[in-house]
Amino acid sequence: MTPNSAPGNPSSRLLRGPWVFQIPLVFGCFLVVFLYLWLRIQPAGEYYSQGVVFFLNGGFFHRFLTYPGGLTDYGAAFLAQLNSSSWLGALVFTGLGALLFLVARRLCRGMTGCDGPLICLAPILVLLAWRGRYDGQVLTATLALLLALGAAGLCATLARRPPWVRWPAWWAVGCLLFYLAGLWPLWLCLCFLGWLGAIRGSTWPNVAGAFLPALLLPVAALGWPLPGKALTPWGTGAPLLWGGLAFLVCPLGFFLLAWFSRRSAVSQGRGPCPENRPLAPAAAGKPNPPAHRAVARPRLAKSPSARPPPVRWWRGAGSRQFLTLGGLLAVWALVWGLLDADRKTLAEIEYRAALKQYEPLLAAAARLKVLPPSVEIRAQWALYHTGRLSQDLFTVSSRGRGNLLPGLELGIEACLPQSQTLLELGQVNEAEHLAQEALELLGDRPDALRLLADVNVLKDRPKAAAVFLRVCSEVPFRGAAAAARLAELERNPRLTGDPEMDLARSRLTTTDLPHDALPGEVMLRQSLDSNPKNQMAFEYLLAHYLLIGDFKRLARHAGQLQDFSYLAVPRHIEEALLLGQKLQGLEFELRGLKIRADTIQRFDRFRNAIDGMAGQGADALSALAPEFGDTFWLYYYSRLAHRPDASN
Amino acid sequence: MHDFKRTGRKASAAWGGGVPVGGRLPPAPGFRQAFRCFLRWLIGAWLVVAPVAQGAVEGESAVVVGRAPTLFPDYAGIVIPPNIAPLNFKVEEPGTRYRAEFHSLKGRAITVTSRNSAIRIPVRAWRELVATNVGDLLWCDISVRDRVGRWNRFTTVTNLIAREEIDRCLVYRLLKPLYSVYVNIGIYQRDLESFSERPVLENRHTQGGCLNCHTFLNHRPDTFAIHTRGSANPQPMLLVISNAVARVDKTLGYLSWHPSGRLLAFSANKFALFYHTKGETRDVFDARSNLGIYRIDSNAVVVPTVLGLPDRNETWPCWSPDGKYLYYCSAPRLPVDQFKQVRYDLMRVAYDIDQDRWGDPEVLLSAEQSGGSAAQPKVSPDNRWVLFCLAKYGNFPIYQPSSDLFVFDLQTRQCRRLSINSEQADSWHCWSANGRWIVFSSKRLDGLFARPYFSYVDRDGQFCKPFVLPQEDPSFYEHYLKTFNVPELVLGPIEVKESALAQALLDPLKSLKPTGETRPPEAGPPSTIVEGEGQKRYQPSLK
Repeated sequence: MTPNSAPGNPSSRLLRGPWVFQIPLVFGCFLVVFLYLWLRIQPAGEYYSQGVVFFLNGGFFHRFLTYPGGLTDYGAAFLAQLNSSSWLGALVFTGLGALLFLVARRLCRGMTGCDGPLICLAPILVLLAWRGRYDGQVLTATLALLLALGAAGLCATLARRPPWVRWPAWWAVGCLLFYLAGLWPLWLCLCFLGWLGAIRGSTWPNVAGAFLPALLLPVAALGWPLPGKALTPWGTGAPLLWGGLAFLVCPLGFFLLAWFSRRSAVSQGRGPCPENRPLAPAAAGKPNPPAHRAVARPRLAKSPSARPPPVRWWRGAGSRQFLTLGGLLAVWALVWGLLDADRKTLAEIEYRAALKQYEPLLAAAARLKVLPPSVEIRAQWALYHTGRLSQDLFTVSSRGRGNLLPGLELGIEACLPQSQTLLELGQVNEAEHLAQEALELLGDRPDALRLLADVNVLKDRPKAAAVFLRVCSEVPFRGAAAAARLAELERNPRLTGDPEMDLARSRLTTTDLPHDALPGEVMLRQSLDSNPKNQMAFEYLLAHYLLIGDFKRLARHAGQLQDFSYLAVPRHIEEALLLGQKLQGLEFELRGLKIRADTIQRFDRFRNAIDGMAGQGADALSALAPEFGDTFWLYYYSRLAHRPDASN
Repeated sequence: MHDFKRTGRKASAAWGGGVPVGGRLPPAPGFRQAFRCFLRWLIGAWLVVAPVAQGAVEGESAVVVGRAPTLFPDYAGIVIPPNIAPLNFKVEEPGTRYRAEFHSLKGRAITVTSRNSAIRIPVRAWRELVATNVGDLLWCDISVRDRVGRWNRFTTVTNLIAREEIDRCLVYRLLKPLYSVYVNIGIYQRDLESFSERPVLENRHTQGGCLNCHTFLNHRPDTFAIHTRGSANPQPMLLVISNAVARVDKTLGYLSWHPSGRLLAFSANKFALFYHTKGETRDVFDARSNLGIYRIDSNAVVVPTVLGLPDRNETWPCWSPDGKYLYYCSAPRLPVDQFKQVRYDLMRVAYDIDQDRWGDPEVLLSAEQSGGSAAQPKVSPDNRWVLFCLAKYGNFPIYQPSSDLFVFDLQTRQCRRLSINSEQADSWHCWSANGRWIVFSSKRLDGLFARPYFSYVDRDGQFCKPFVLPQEDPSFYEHYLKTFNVPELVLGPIEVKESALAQALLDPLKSLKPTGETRPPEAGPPSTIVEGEGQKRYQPSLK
C-alpha cells in the first residue's frame, strides 16, 4: 500500500497529499534563491573581484587531474566563469541547488522514510548564506556536496545487491568519489553508508569491509599525515566552518528527522513516517521488504497502547506545514542578515572598475566606512576620471590610508589597481612591475593579462602583448574581446588610433630613474617633467601634496592651474591655500583665478570651530565630521597637524 | 553466400537460369546487399582515384610561389640533430588547406595535410626518415590551398641533418618573469627525442622555496647540484652523486663541477634587484662576490686568495673540461650608483688539482678591449672555444637586451661576435657533451620570454642558424607565459625521484655541514661550522 494512498478519486488524493504544499514551497524557495542571488549577491561582482582563473585548453585541464578533488575544482572554476553575468551565475547556482535538493530528498526518504523538505533545502540555504559572505570557494563545496550525496544515493541503491557485487561497487564508487571530489565528500558518503548499514542491521564485519578500504584510500593516496590542503579544500577559518556546516546539515537533519518521526510514531502507537517508501525496488525474486524496514522498528513494547496518545498541536498536518513555512522564513531571514555588506561593496567596486563605471564605483565606495588600500586607489582613479580628484579627494582619503601610489607596501591587493593608474600615468615600467607581481601571486587573471598586454604594446613588444592576449582569449565568455584586440594588434602592432593607448603613449616617461622603490612624488614629478602636459600627473601630484600637507609645493603648482585649462581653483586647493595662509603666512599667485567666497566663509566657520576646541583632545575633531568631513582642513587636523614637521 | 546457404544454390542462380529448389524462385538480391556492393566499390574507387585526383588537382592547378613560406617557429635553413623530436610548425600563410611533404635521399617521404596551418609530423615516421638520412639534406615542400581552391606551392625548405646527435635531455627552470615575489618555480627535464617533459623538482614540494641554478658533472644525469634559496640561512644546496642525494648546508651561488667530480667551484654573491623607469624594467647589481671551492671529497669549503681579491668581484666560475683552468669573470668593486660602469673581464686561472695549487689569474679579454661586460664563460668540450655573453654592463645578461653571445678562440686568442645573435637578450648557453651543439636562452621571439634555442657548431667554430626547442603544439610559444631559464644539456634522463629531492631539502637523511673557512668579503671572522651530533658523514662515491 503506497503512502497516502486512499481509495477514491486520484485527484483528491493529490490535493490532500503533501505535494500540494511542498511543490509550491520548494518552487517558491528556488525562485527566491535565484532572485536573491541575481539581485542581491550579484555574482558579477564576485567574478571580477575573485578573478577565478579558467582557460579552455588541455594544459589547464591537465593540472586538475593530478590531485584528488581536482576535477571538482575544475568544474567549479568553469562554473565561476558564468558569474560574469549575474543572472546566469544565479541560474547556475539555483540549478545546482535544485539538484542538491532532489538528491537530498531521495536520500532522506531512504534514510528516514520521511520527506523533510526543509532539511533537504537546508544545504542550499547554508551555501547561499555562505555566498553572502563573499569568502571561500562556495561553488567547489557545492559541487563536492552534490557528488557526495549522489554517491551516497548510488551506494544506497546497491545495498540490496549481493555482497560480491555490493562491496566492489562501493569501493569503486568511493575511489571515484575521492578522486573527483576529495576527502570530505568521501567521508560524508561513508557516514551515510554507515547509517544505512545500521538501519539495515548489518553486522560490523560487513560495515568494516565496506568502510576500511575507503578509509585507507586517502592515506594511501596522500600519505600520513594528511596534507592540509586536503583537509581544508575551501579555505581556512570561516570558509571551512561554512563548508563543514553545509556538509553536516544533511546527516544531522536526517538524524533529527528520523528520531523525531520515530518518537512521534511511538507515542501515537502507529508505524513510522506515513511517507515511508523503500528506497530501491526489491531485488528480483525477493519479496518487497515491509515498509517499516526503512527505519528502525519502533519500541512498541514500551509504549502503553491502552492509553490514547496525547494531543500535541504541532502534530497536525496543518501545523506541520505552518512550522515548515515558518522555519523556512526564519532561515531566509538569517541568510538575508548574514550577507556581508562590506564585502559585497568591495566586490561591486571591482566590478565597476573593470567596466570603468566611475560614478557607480564612487557611490559604492561611499558606503564603506573604512577603505582598504585597493579601494582607495580605485576611488582616487575614479575621482580623477570624473574630474573631481582635487574636489572630493577627502571624501575618500579620510576613510583610507591617505596613499596614492604605495607600491608594494600595502600588500598585493593594491598591485593591480595601482598598475592601471600607473599605466595611464605613463609609468609603464612600474605598471609592468606591479602587474607581474599580481600575476605571480594571484594567478593568470584576465585583468592582469590584459594590463600586461597593454604594457607590452606601449613598450613596443607587440609579440609579447600577443602572448598575453592569446592566453586571455582562452577565457570562456570573455575571450572574444581579447581575440578582437589580438586581431587588431596583428594589423596595427602599436595600436595607434586607440585613444587610451595614444594618450598613455604621449605620457611615457623619457628619463630613467634606477630605483628599488620609487616614491610616488618622484614618480609623478618625473612624469610631469617628461610631459608637462600630463594632466593626470599634475592632478595626482596636487593630490599628493594635499595628502602630505605640503603647502609650499601646493602653492607653487597652484600657479600652473591655468596651464591645464582650469577655470576655477579646485575646492581642496582653495582649502589648503587658505589654511596655509593662516598657519604659515603662505603667499601664492593664482594668475587670475580666485578663491570662492563660500569657501572662505566655510573656512571661517571651521576656524571658529577649531578655536572653540582649544585644549580638547583629538577625539573632539570627530564632532566636526558631519559638516567638515569632506574638507582638507579636517583631514589636516586629524592626521597631519600633530606631526613634528607640521606648524600649527 | 547468404543466398547460397539459404537456397542451396549459388547466388548467381538467383539472377536467372536454373530451376529453383522446391519450385520456388530464390529471392532476388536484396537492397541491403546491393548497397553493400556499391559501398565497397565506392570506397575502392575513392582509395584509388583520390590520391591521383588530388595529385592531379595539385599538378594541374598548383601555382609555384617564388618564395619561401613563412613558418612559425622558423625551421628553415637549419642544421638539426638526427635524434631531435619532430619539428612541428605552423605555416603562416593564408589558406584553407595545408600540405607539407618531408623527404630526403632515402626512406619514405612523410606527407602531412591539415585543415589548419598547424603541421604535426608523425613521430615514428619522422624518426625513421631522419635516422635514415643522417648527414643528408632534408627537404620540405609546402603547399597551401587558397579560397578559390588553387594550390600554391612555395619554394622548398631545405635543412641539413647533422651526423652528430645532441644530448638526449634538456634540463631547465620554468618561471614567469619574476620580480620580488615568486610562487611557482620548477626545474624540468625534457626528452629531446620526444615531447615528454617531466618535473625534476617543483617548489610546491619544497614549501615554496626558490630553486636556483642546476649544474651537471660532465653532462651526467646522475651527478648534479641544485642551489636553492629560502628565507633562512644557510640556503642549502642539493648534491646528487650517482643518484644518492644529500643536502649541503652552505649558501653557494653559481656552481661549476670540476671534471674530476671532486670539487665544485662556486660564487658567493650579494645581489640586489632594482628597477628602471625606462627600457628594460629589471636589473641586478652584484655588490660583492667572490669565488670559492667546495671540496666534495673532504666536505670542506676554501676560498683561495687568488679567487677572492678584496677590491674585485669574481663570479661565474666555469671549469675547463680538462680541469686545468677555472674560467670566471672579474670586475672592480664599485658602488651601486655606478652600476653602469661595472664591466667584467673574462679571466682564467690555472689549477693543479693533485697539488692543490693555483696559478696566477690571466686576463683573456678585458672590459677595455671588449667595450662591454663579460659573463657566463663556458668552455667547449675540446677545450678550444670559450662561449660567453657580452653586454653593455653588469653581470646579469638575461636582463640586458644588449647581451650577445661571443666566442673566444683559445688557440688564436681571437674573439668574435656570433652571427646567431638577435636584437634581444641571448644568454644562458651550454655546450653539448660532444661539443657540436649549443643551447641558449633567447628572448628573440617577443622580447620578454626567454625560449631555448639550439645551434650546430662545426669544428671550425662556425655556428649555424639557431632553432627553437620543438613542441608538439606548434603554437606553444605563442601562449606560454613562462620563461625557460638555465637550459642544460644532459646525456640522459634524471632518474632521481622528485620526492627524494624534496625530502632531502626539507627533512634530509643526509645533511652535510661543510667544515673549513669561508671568507665572505669584508665579513666578520669566519664561522666555525660543526657537524651535528648523530649525523652520519656523507661519503661520496664517484664512478
